[in-house]
Amino acid sequence: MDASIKNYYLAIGKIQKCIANAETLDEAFQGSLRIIIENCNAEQAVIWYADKSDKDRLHPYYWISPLDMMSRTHSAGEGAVGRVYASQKTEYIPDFKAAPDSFTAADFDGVEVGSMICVPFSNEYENLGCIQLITTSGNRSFTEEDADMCEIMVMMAAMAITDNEHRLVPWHGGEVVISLSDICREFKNGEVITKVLKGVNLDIYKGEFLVLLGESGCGKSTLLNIIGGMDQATSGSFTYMGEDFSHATQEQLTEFRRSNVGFIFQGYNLMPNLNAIQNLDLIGELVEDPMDSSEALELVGLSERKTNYPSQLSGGQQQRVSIARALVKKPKLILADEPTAALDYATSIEVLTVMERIVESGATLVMVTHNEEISRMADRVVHMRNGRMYEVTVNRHRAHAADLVW
Amino acid sequence: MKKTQIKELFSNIKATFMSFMAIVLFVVLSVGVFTGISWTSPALQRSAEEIFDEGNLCDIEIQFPNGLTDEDLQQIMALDGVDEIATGYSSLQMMKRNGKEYVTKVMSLTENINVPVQKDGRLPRNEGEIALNKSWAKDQGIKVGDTVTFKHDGSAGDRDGMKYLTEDTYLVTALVESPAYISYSLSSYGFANIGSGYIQCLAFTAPQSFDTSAYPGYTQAFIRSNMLRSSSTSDEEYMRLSQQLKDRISALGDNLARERYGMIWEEAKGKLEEGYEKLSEAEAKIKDAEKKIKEGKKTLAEGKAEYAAQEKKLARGLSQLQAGQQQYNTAKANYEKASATYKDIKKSRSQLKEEDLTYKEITEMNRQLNSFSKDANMKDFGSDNVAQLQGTLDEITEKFDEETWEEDTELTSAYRRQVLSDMDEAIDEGGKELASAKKELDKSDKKLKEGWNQYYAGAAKLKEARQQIEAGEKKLDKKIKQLEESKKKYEDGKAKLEDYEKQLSKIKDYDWTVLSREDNGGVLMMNQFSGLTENLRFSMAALFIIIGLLVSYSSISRIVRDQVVSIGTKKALGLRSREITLSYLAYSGAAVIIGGVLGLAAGSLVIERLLARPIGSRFIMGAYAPYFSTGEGLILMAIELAMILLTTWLACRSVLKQQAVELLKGEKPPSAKPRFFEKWKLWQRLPLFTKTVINNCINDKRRVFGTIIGIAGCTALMVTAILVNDNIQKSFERQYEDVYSYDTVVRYNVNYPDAEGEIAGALDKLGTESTPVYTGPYRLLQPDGRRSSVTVTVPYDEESFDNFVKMEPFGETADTEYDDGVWMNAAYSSHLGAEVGDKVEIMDSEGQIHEFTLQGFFKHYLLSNQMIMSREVYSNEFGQETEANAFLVDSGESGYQKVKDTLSGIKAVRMVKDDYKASENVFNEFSRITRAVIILYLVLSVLMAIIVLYDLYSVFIEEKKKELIVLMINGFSAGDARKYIYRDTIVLTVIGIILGIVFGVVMGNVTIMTLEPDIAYFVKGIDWFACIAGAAASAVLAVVLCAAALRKISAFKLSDINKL
Repeated sequence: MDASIKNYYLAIGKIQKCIANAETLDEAFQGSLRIIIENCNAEQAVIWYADKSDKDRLHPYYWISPLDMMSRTHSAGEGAVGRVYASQKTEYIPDFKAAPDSFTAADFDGVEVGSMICVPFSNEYENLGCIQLITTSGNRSFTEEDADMCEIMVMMAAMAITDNEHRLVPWHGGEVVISLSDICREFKNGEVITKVLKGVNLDIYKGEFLVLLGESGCGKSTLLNIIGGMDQATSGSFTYMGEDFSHATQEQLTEFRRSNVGFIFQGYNLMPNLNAIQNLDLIGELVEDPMDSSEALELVGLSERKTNYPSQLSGGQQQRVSIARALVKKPKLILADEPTAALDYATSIEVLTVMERIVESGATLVMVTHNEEISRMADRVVHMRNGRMYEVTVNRHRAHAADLVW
Repeated sequence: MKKTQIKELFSNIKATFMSFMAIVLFVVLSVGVFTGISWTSPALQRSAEEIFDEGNLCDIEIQFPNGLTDEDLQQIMALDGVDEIATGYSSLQMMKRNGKEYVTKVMSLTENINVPVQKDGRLPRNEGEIALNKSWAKDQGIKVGDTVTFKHDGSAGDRDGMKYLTEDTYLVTALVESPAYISYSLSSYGFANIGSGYIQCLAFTAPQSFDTSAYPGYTQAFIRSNMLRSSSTSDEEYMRLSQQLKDRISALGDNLARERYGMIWEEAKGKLEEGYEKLSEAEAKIKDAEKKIKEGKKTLAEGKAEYAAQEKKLARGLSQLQAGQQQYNTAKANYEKASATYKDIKKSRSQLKEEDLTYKEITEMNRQLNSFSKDANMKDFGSDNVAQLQGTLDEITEKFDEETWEEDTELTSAYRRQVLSDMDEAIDEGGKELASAKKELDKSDKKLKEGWNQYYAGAAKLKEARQQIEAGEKKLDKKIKQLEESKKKYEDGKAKLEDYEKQLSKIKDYDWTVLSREDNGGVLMMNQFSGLTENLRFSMAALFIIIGLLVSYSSISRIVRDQVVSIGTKKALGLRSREITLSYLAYSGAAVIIGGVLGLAAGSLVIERLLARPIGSRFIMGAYAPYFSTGEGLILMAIELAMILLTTWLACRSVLKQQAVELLKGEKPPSAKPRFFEKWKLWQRLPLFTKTVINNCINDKRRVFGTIIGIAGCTALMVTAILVNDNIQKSFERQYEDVYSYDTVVRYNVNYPDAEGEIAGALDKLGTESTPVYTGPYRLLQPDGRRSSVTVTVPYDEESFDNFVKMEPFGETADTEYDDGVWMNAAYSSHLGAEVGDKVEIMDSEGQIHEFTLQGFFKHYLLSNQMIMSREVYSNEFGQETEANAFLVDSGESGYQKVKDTLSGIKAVRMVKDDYKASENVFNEFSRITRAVIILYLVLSVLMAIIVLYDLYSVFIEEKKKELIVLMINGFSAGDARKYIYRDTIVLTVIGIILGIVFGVVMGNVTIMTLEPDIAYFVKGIDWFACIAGAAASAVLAVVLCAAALRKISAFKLSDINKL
């Protein structure tokens, strides 16, 4: 048997297994797409999903790409994605440069596309969307076998779509609070230069709960530091509310943090010699119109413990004080770095519940975590790998903290 | 240690380099300071030893005013340990130079012992040659080849009527440095009972320049012992053996001194008795002579009376003779005249003829005869015949005139014949009368001659008698003179005998004064400085060591805490606590070894030299011989190592006794808890920052304690240094503000009549206040067996004296007056433990010891012992009234120079001393050395403060780094974050400084006490300047170092939050 055919069948088997084991459509799709990319040498891929309220509009729901596709949409029939969605026919473009469709090309603005495969998927009632895979220029282009395999695999994945899986209820990010473009961060240690971030493109929207997931050393904390104005990118652009902080001075960054950012740390980092309310007061005094410290503590359910010192509080309570401290400035952006890493499950849920409430109140929250279960609470989940955004998932259904299990 | 552990050690050192260096530096400082100060003294002593060896300084010196005999010397030589002996003489002389007088100690040279080291010229070999100590000669501009003159006016070297020296003027043949006088300080030369009371110049001359008859024997002897050659003067062994030898000689001296005293006494007594015998013989002779003179005077008076009678008689005879002679002469003249007239007449008659008798001839003849007869002397001659002739002639002239004469020839012829006949008769008669007159005249002449002969014989006899009388008078005068001389001699002899008798009563039972090198003025002064450094090394090094240990503890504790997870991991991986501890012990051990080696190098190469220079400049020294003792260095390093290792172990102990699982959780934050005061409204009203600072201070006890101790320690070091310096300086000022109200001392020669009145008058005229006193230098025999100098002052006007010397009671002294007994300066009580009621002994310049009972002590801040007693107390002990010999003068607005100028014309004035300046010079000399030490101390203190404070602040910031980063992440600017630290730091710094001031004042006063020589009592107590300056210096250092450390905050990487 030809090796390629053998691989092809092996991949099919994997997809079948993935779909069978997947508990949700998202899992099935995302898992299948990963297998497809792995087996057809695709470098980037996007799952486009039809808007539930506007069936002619496709939104990116999941993508494996260093680009932030969130703000991009396609209309049915427009560009390769629109055409495939509308026609429900797979398109295979081996030489993208020769393709006339500028809309399709624009989907990967910033990446020089070499070849592309676009495969539609649907349930038994309606067209749901399509999957778009690309190779970049200079690398091997897709073959027809690849296109076939993709098509089969998508078909198989689509089989997992139940009646309940209708079109996407799109998440609208709204106003962009933070915009990161091609953010790179290098660290020099003697003559050794370590590139931690290698070109991150990400927009964070007002009221968004964004989770950054990834293995240790993938750059998620570094990215969080840059977002929080704690660190500066070696290159790339960082804007906050349209204001460019790429080359901000320390004073400007301090002002940025002071006025706009609340931090929640893994280790709580409360002032040990200040009691709970004093910890809040200390930070609240930095801004002109802070939240009342007692109110902030009440918000996190600790109004009874406000005179307690950190050493008199449990880990969860300390983290809740930490959250209250982040809130007291009424920041536009809350950054949380592994806020539950040091907590047990029950306490973590307590803390996450508080954070859920904060997000519901309209705050923008960016959380770094290892815990994929927590990412279910997010609007978007950014998986990072090797200094880049690797895949992004828009949660079609955000889980409640209380529903999380690990 | 295993290879990996060594690698980890190096890695650890690299990671905590600043802390490691802090420990290293403290070890360097403590070891360096201790060894540097400790080795200064032996280094100087070794340099001095070179001079001792070069000049063969005697090991023992014997001084014996009653004179050592050759037999004494033989017995000394026979003693065990005596290998070489030399004898000599010395005399105190007043050297006159440029209108000034200098008390000079002239000493005879010996061949081998105490040989001055010649620096220029050659040593004196002959009478009339002299060598002078180089330093003084240089000051005076005296060169080899110059001459110097000693004064002999009965007031100095020849005061006993003996000159001691054979010559007055000497040729300077050499400038020298004597091993017996290595200190440049005049007070180390000893005291004099002449002039200023202090020996100013040292002179050496050949023995033949001394008049040995003026000495009862050898008044000094120098001994060297071979058994002492194996060790140096400062060695314990030397002192032990030297003391033994001294004891042996003293024991011998006890007997020989008694014998010598007995011998001198008997000899003197015998001479006195012999003298009295001679005096009594002389008295008898004088009486005999007086009798004879009396008789002689009587005889002479009788002779003189006889002589006067004879003289009178002779005068009378002479008078008669002269009358007779006159008569004779007249008669003779008359005769000769008559004879001539006769001859003329006779001749004329023989030629005359009748016809020749003209009328004219007749009238002429008549006129001549009238004239002749009218001549009283001639009237006796031929009177009758002449009268006849004259009658004839008269008739002719009456009867005739010239014409008639010629006309009447007959008559005229008759008359002519008559005239001729009368003439012939008159001539004949005249011839006869002339012959008779001649006969008479010859008879008278003969008689007269006999009379003259008798007269001349009488006059000759009288002359002889006169001569005899004059000779008798002369003889008598001579005898009287001789008698007077004899009487004077007798009186002199009598006075001498009385004086001798007095002296005999004064012949004292002197002991041998046996002095070892320890008693040598220069060595004493060197030992004083050695004692100073000895005291300093402990007080200074102790501070550095204590603070160094605290810093080490703090550093190691921090390192251990920083590595608590690592320690937990090691424990979890199976390493034992002792194995982990070993790595930290190795860490601190490495720091001690590196610091110790560097400290030893710093001590011997830097600190030792820095201190040796100012001290050494006060002494005659050989080439500088740095001292380094490997043994001492190793012992010190071992002690330092043991202390630091103990500190390290203590720092590790609390962490290492925890379980691995606890350690793996990392360092626990301070467990703050609500305090009672938090409910107070006042607390609640406090600004949050204030609360934060207070909470930080309350809850972070370890850091707070460490910081406060560190700052307090540094402040204390600086306060100590400044306080010591300031109080020592202040002591001098205090003396002239609170104790002495005079600034000038006028010494005068009591032998000048009314010296006191003349000087007092001059001072009064100048408008200066003064008070008369007796003042003189004495040797003080301290209770510890050592000797020092003391100035005894006896007020003569106690009321005015109180205005010049205010005696503030010290210690337990009751508020009594000095006329109740003897008062001494406070140092004598504070250093030697003397108490009121104790006995105190002083030795006068003749070696006599006098004992007094101490009545009290008074505060006195100068570097000298002072003893004040009433005249009554003095006379009771000395057995004689003393005379005022000085004035204490408050020169006031006039100033010292004017007082000096005013008194310059008064011969009795010996010296006008600027007491203020002189005391200031002594103080400056002392404080120059202490200041060098204090500057070193201060520099090291500042260095230590820099290390400690920077380390503390750095550590503080490092410890607070996480909190600071959290604050900065939350929007605190770097400035806000710095405030968070420095507000905290300000509080701790202020507390630390306050504690440091307290500690510094205590340490400073303790240090002053250790620095005080036995004779000194310095001002103690709180010195506000030191407190403020020390606090200010600490504050400035704290601000600067805190600011430097706070700069780190700006460099914090906020992204490091996850690593902390």
